[in-house]
Amino acid sequence: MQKENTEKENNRDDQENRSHDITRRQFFLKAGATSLATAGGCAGVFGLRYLSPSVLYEPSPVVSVGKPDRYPVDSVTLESQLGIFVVRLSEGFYAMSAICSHLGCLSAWKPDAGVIACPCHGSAFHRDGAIVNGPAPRPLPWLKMWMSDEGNLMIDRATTVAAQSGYVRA
Amino acid sequence: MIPLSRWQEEFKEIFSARVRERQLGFRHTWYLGSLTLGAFTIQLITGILLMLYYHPSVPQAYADMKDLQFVVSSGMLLRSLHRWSAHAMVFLVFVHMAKVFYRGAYRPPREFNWMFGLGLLQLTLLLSYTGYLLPWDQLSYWGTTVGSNILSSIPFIGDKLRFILLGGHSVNANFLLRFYVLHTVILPVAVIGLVAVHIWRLHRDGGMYSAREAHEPAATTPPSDSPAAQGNERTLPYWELLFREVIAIQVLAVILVWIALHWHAPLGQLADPTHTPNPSKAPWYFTGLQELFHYFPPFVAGIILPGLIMTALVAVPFFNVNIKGESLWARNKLRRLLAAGVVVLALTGFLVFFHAWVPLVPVWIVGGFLVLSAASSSRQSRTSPSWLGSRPLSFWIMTWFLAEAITLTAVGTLFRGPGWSWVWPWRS
Amino acid sequence: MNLLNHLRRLGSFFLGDPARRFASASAVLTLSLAIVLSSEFVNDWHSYQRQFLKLVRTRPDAAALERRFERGIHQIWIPEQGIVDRCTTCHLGLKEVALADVREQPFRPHPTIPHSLTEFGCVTCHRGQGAATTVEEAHASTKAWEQPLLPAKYLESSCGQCHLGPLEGTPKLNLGRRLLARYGCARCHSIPQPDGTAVVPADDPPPLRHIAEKTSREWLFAWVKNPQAYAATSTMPNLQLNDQQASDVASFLMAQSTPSGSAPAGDALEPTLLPVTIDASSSGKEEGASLYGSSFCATCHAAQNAAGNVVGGDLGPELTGIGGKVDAEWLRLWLKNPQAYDPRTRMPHYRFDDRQIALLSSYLLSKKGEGLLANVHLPTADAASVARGKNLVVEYGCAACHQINGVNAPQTFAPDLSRIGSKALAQIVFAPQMEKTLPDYISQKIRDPRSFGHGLKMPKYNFTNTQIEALTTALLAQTGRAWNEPKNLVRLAPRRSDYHPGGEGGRLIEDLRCQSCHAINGSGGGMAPDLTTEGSAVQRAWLEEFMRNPGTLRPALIRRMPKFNLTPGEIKTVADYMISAYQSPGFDPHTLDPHALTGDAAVRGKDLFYLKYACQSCHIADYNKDKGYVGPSLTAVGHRRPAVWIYNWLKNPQAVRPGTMMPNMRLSDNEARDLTAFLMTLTARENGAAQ
Repeated sequence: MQKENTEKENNRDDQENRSHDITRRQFFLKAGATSLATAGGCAGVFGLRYLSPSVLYEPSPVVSVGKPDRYPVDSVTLESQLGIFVVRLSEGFYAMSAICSHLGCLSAWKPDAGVIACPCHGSAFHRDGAIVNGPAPRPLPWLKMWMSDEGNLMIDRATTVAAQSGYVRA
Repeated sequence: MIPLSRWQEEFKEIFSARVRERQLGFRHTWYLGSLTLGAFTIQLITGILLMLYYHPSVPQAYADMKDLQFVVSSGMLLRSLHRWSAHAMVFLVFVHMAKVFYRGAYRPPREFNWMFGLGLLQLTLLLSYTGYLLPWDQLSYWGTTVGSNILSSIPFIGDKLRFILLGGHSVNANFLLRFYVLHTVILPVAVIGLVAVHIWRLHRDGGMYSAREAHEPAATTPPSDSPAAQGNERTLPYWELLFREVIAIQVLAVILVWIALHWHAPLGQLADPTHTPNPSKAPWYFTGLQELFHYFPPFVAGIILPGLIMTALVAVPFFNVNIKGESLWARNKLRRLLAAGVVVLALTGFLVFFHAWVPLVPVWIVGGFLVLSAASSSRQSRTSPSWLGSRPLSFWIMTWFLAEAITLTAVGTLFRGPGWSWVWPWRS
Repeated sequence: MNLLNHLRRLGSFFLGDPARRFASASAVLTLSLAIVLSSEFVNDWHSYQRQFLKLVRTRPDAAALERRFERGIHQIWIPEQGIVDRCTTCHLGLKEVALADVREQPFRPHPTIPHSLTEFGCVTCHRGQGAATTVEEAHASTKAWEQPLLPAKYLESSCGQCHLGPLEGTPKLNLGRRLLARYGCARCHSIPQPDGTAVVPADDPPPLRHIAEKTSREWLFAWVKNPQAYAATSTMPNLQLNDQQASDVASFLMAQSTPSGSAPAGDALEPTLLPVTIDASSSGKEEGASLYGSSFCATCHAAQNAAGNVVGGDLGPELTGIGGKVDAEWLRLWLKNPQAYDPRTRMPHYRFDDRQIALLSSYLLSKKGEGLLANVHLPTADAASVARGKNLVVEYGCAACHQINGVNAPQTFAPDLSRIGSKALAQIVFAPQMEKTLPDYISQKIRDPRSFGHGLKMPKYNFTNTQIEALTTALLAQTGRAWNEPKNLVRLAPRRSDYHPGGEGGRLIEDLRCQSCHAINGSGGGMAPDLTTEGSAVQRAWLEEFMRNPGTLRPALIRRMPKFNLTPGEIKTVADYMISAYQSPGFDPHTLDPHALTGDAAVRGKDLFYLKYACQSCHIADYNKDKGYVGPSLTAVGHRRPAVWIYNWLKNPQAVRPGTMMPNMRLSDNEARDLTAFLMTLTARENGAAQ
């Protein structure tokens, strides 16, 4: 009788063990695995920090295009190294990005046609950046421009201003 | 959540080998093989990360070292970890080789694997050597210059070899690029390949009980230094061993990480071809060799002696003379003692001729222990067998080689100063 | 026992079976990684940036300052010059004018300098390791970077890397470079400059080929032993020879001396006019002294006066003890024609007559100085002594400065100093007990050259601390970076030329050594006015008068042009040459119509002078009224300056003489003409009396 009882009890215990408890071994294994996962996550976060450079060896977005006398009145000049149009009207100077807003090609000023044309897909812009025709979705943006203390024209390639927002006086 | 038992099942599928319970313990292999592999894995990870900020050009390489040290988030840590893991890997690979040897695990059918292991030893040293140049500081530049000049000492083809290795006549930008490619591509791929074969062979040779061995115990020769190998011994799934090795690698990682935090990888001045620092020391694992250069001409110390050592190591398993690990003094004791004496004297004469005092020291120390072992072995019949007296010849040769390596390395690292003159390290 | 049991239980809890070991190892690894990876947040620059924020927040203009502040590493990157400087990561206040009251580093703003802070980075001027972001590595000398920060007192040396000529803002550097030239450093050390020129010695070591005619062996001995004992202002350094060596050198120098040919046989000098050298009559001495004064010898030569001060110029040797040095006959012949003894001397050929020579020499010979030779007793000069002396002369490189018979000037005698400012510390052997930095090495070497070891040969100069600092500054400017600068950044030194005038006039100008004091076409001294355009700057009559009798144009100056007693023919020759050859190309005589300089114009001009432009605030036109002492007196300008010159000067003074203090009054053509007319009427003599 007692044997039967013990067996039944044992079976019950076994069942309980299987459904609720985990063995110590399993606990420690899980604990270890969790720690490692945490370590991995931690390392991952720091890895991302590692991969993001803290200093950049890139030239400053602010460039100087020289003295105003370099540009004749009523002219559109492409500074191809910088990808900027420097436009001088009688009212003053403004700067526009020469990067076509369609897919990033360098556009060019066509004085005979009086437009800025992009050679890649045929977009055309007015001298003030407004779209004439072509697949370009947006007009050419105007860039922030000012006169430095030494009398040089400075342009910040990373900052756009609204079109027609003002001219820099020579 | 997949139950843990399911993972166990997966492992059992993949690693169908089994291990004997007695082989799971630390004292069996000290987990050295996997520790070495763990160090290598750390190298792979840290190395790849470091590659993202490193340009192998002159002098940009040095500037990149500065960037890693000062600017890159965790850059100094990665650099230090990479450097100390490299040292750890070299150290571990030597100790692993010694342990395998002393266990006798090179004996047939494992001689093929032993050679692969020696190949991995060479690759480890080469990895260290090629990596040493990459920071492009004074020590890098001049250390590798000296090494490349050793190549020139080979007759007939030495200069040509050097020209190809350098990509020019002197250590310059081409050389850096070639070493970079060696260090980051060619050598790691070779190591991975060899490691794969090494581990596969390990299984096939029955280093850990494979499924086949469990059924055909007579098919393979058990390692001869485990006398009661047969019999009722429990075997466990392979992953039990793997599990313990992972723990060992974790401990290694913890140690290395703390060392990397506390001791930063050193960096010297920018490489200056017009000025040789004094002394120009190789990293510690090569200072032993550099010490040998002090006594012997470059061709001997750089090519002949290392070549002889490698040949001896390779040939070791093929000297099937002492399968049972019989003690050196078991037979013909007096004759063998005389032979040992002659060998010691010959070595002494040879070394004295070259004024090689430092290598002389281990010869006499080991010789002394040899005599001691001969004396103690005679007591074997009366008392329990003395451990020293029962060592086979292979033990003595390897021990002598290791003693030489340790002595030369210690002297080269600690006791040599400007002009390779003798200095007392506590005085300088 | 209890403790041990506890430890055992702890051990088995954490490490009892592999699963526990795994968990423990993983936990420890995670913890370690967490700690180690986060260690980067406690480095130097993070904490300095936090401190900066704390400082900024206490100030009234906190909002603006905080807006301008960016966290993270700041970098000045100038690829053309290979500059990567991260100093601004911690030195956050450099450009912040608002922080002017902050004194403590690293937040102190940078003092005003002529360059913008981002033009050359920081390390170009301050040295140190620009790429570093820890305090130790950036400022100190470490295993990875030898060059520590440059001490502030040597900062001007960095300007000298690009500016190869003198600069207004670098007095120490200018002084150092002048000293390098003046003390003949470049005679032993070659100091090439990045623009292809080299430091040119500005001293004048006399030739020793005929030294036996000039002085005695005893004097040579005393001189070689210690030059400054004879003449405190002498530029010759002390060779630190012992008595035996000095005696040998003296023997050799006397032995190698050959006749100079300056004393042709039968040069008849009436014996009666030769006064006895030692005991001259007191009146003779007085007259000699006054002749010395009126010849303005002190313009070039220094001598100790009665009060004990050494006064006079430094173009020629100090004459304090000349009487104890030179042979009387030699002195007489020298005064008669210096170039007969030394063809390359800077001393002009005065046209003294015999009586004047006698007076001068008796005066000079009375200047005995300190009795240098009183205790000098030399052994006889035998052949062995002469041979030893010659070896010493070769060994110590005397021929690098002096011409000596039988000994050639040594080549590459002393180390090249072109890159001394970048010398690697590992290549320097320091003297015992000294600071191991490069500036200290250079100063110590200059201060006491032989303190660095045995067998060194550099002689010892008696420089003051100021001079040593200046010299060190000048030498520290000779860096590797100076040689590798992009060419557009280098500011060249004013070019020296080798110009010498030709023809008959040129021969006279050479004979009179005008270029010892005056520069002409880029060649010559700087003591007196540049004569390159003198021909168009003065009237011929005035020039001749001046050469006859050099007066003073600026009473404040001590130095005067000596009177050479030229014959009228000589004066005419020189004046012809100067007027015709030394014309300024910008003075077109047609710009001014001489007929327009009427009396009316002069009256208008006078009004302009006194009323409209108030020139009398700086100039004197009338001695009785005017008190303007800023510019030169104009009372005789009509006599001296040509009208065209005055006209051009008034129109644009800076074009005629760059750097002049006179402002450009922006005169119209008519006004300039009228003022010229007025000024041409001012023709008083020097003493104010009207002509």
